Amino acid sequence: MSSSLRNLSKRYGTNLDRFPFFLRKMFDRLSREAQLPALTSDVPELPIEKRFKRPDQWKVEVGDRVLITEGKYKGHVTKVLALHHPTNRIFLELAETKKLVVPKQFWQAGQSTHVIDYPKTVHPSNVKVVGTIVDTAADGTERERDIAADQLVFKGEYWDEDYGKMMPYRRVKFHENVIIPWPRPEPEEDCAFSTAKEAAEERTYVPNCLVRTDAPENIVESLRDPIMKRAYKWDKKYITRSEAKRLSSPEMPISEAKKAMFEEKRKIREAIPSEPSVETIELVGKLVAEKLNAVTDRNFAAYVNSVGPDARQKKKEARESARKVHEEKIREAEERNKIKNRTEGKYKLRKAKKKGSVVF
Amino acid sequence: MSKIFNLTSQEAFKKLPQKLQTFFTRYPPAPLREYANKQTFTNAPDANPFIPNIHPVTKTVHSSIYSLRRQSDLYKLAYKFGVAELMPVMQNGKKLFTEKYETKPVLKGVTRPKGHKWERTYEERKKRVEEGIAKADDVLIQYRGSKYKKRLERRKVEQRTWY
Repeated sequence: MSSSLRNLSKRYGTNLDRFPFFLRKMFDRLSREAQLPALTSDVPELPIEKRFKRPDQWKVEVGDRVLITEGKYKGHVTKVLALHHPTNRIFLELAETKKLVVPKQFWQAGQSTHVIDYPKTVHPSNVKVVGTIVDTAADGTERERDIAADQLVFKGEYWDEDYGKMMPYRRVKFHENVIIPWPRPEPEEDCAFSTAKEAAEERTYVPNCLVRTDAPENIVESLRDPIMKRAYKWDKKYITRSEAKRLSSPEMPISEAKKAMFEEKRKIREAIPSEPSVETIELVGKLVAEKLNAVTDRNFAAYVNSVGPDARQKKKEARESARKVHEEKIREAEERNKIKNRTEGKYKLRKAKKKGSVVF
Repeated sequence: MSKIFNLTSQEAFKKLPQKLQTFFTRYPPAPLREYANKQTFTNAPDANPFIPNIHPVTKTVHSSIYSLRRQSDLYKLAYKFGVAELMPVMQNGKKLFTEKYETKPVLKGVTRPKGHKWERTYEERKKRVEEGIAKADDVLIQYRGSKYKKRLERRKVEQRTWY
């Protein structure tokens, strides 16, 4: 797929990720056809987002002892030589090989023929990691024993000085107390151009102030291209909505309009009379009296009395008194039941004693 | 029949159900305070509590203070106590009882009855003709005199039978 150089910058050159899948596939095929067979891998390369990045995805590291579970060398224990990142596969010491014709410029030291045996890669799912546990016998002698983990779980992590990063604990599934440690990586040799660790870690600058920068004014402008047509993206002439929100004081939960509404409602409530005026009583009462005084129907009179304002209070009182009577009845019945149970119990006890049986 | 109540106007007002009393307290009836027949501003002095009015500032329509159901409840109670005429105009010109019956729209069947005219008047005409035939002798006697009456009587006597 895309080479590492092209991945470095997405700005220049063709970015293959921009193309649709079928075009990417076509470009991939074209590039494969143009390459020498010696330089292509037998397994197609994976897109970057599918490649393993973390040690718990790989499950093995360079230097691990593994048990081969598939293929010609099934059952053999061997060592991991390298990780092949483009295909998510690994090189093993003991592996099947394929015949490869190598151009002369790629010949290794001591190579005398064009045809070489090149090891094939293996997927990490086709190997099992081998670890060593120490058994202590009854007489105190210790014996080392190899185990191969069927499945692995990764729980917890620690700082690994040699790898220079956090590494997860590699545990055997269902026996999580058994940890298979990661192999120690080959120490990297410093060359003549390497910077010493002490020199790299030395602190050469301490800021005077956390608020103001020590950099000279206009340093940023001097670093930019003065004749650039497009405005620098950080030179914004506007503020975003979220920035405006952060810069302005928050609005109170009750707005002015709402306050006005509350005030208006309060005024309306106050304007509404709470007691009937004398005129109202006179006007309405006169008509009602005319109507009621002419009533001869007993049923209608009963209705009038039942819907009056005092009828509800009377109803409530009647319901309350009925409830009290009901509760009193329940209490009396409970008392009666208690007495009944006591006398019945006594009678049974006497009967049982007479018969001579044991009562618990 | 003997009369049951003998109330003064103050006592009669206290006899009204609480709902009605509250309503008349809040919204005194017509001579004391006028109520508009149609939509007004909510803060207008004659704003009708039964009609959805418009807010003067926001111009939104506020739903009526008494819902259509509560309006009807109040009106029906007022009708029973003889004070229905004091109520403001209801929403959408709603009317109840006699008023509703009197103002109900004329049905189509009344203005445009079914059938032809001869069909509609058939029974009536038949009846009239039968009555006319039955009375025909009397009418003839009236106009032609006693001679014709005698002739009719003789014809009745001389009528031949099969035996």
